[in-house]
Amino acid sequence: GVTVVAFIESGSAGEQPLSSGPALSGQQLIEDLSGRLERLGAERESGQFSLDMEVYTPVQQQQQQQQPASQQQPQPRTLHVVASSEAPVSSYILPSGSSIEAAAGPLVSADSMFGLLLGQLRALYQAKPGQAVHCRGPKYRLADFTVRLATAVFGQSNSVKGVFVEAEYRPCNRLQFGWPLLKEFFSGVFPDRAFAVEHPNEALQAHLQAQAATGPIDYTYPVTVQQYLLLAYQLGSSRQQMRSAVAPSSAADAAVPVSMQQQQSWGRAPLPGPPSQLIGR
Amino acid sequence: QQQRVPNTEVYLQGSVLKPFTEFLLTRLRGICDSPGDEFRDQESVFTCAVPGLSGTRLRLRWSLLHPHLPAYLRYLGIPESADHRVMSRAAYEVPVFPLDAARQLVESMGFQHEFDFIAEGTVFRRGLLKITVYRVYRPGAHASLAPESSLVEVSGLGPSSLTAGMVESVLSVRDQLKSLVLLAKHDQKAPKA
Repeated sequence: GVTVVAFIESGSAGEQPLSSGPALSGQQLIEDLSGRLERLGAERESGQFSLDMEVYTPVQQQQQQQQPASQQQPQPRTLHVVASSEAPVSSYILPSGSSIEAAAGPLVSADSMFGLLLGQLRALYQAKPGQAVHCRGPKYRLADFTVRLATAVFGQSNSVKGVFVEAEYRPCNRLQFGWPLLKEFFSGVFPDRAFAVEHPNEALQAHLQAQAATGPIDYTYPVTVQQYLLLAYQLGSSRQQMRSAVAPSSAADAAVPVSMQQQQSWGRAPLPGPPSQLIGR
Repeated sequence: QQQRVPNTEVYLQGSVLKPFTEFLLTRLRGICDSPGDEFRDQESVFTCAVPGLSGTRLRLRWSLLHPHLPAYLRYLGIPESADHRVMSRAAYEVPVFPLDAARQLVESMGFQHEFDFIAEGTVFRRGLLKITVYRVYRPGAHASLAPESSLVEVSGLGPSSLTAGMVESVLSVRDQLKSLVLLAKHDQKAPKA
């Protein structure tokens, strides 16, 4: 069903949470949000929700940069590969640099075997566990809604940078129709985060705009995956601005400054300005 | 869990002349589990444009008869002869969707389109094996590249733990088709565009 994903930074990351409440750590946030859901009568679903966004960078990239511009071949792009417990046999792949606003949606859905195929191309791509994002958390069912909460751990550190909150309205598969109800539900359950659903995010807007060209399209899980990738990207960009000098996370990354690393990994055109007017507020 | 992923293909190839194709198809209908399905697939072959890796290829294959089915992203390794009786190679066939995004993905990975071809014919199943009788066309051509004959392939794609069993099955099929088609290992050279 139609789904919206938002991200709440945890206080332990050193930034001010945007609500007026006290700064909460990632785990405390999960407990706080879970508590709210349970008080509303939500039932905890069995099993854990997990979503991993892995990054694979081209091996040749750094060598290419040393050649004069005239000799450079089209470079292989960094790949983001997402695996989710909600689609256990699938992998979702997004080459970086592609615009999330592209009408056709450049996200590729593939069998989970894709990672093994990439493993055969070891000379071309290497995994970068330091840039991965791992999300884990509980799932709740409340009437026709499912809420998935997940602590987000960036790279190989153990510290939780925040919490992803996903709200799905299961019966509806058309975003235009389900958005108002989804927004109302989210704002009602998480009133201090209502700003996160003031307007549909860029991934949802892209989904709506694609329909302007081709006619109605069902909302499918890849659009949810796009939202996670979008939020992780925005988080990566904002962190990069706040960091002035940070020690590299591993020797292999030391050759390239961290800010350039982030750009190479999530390098995209800046996100556009005003939100879509396709659906009412 | 790794052992259960299909990653190895064992196969034999041969060809059958046009007048004898129908006999072959009849024999195959008799010895196979399925009565034979028509297929018409198009395959795009991409070569790695990154210097130093230019031998590596990726293939994208989709059905022209059933365009709603997912396409397959295929990686085929270099044929080896670990067993002297059959060809074998690493093979990964990953269902991908949608086709145009998959094509963009392959190109984003540093691969350049080399050529396309169309394979049209009949596919049979026998246990884990696949037996195909088909002709190869350039896209847009009326006549196949070899109009007087069809290619015959017996192949099994599975996890390496099942390879030994599949080799025996391939050899068994070879023996049963002996009088109609000579299935053998072939010297693999890179096909010209």
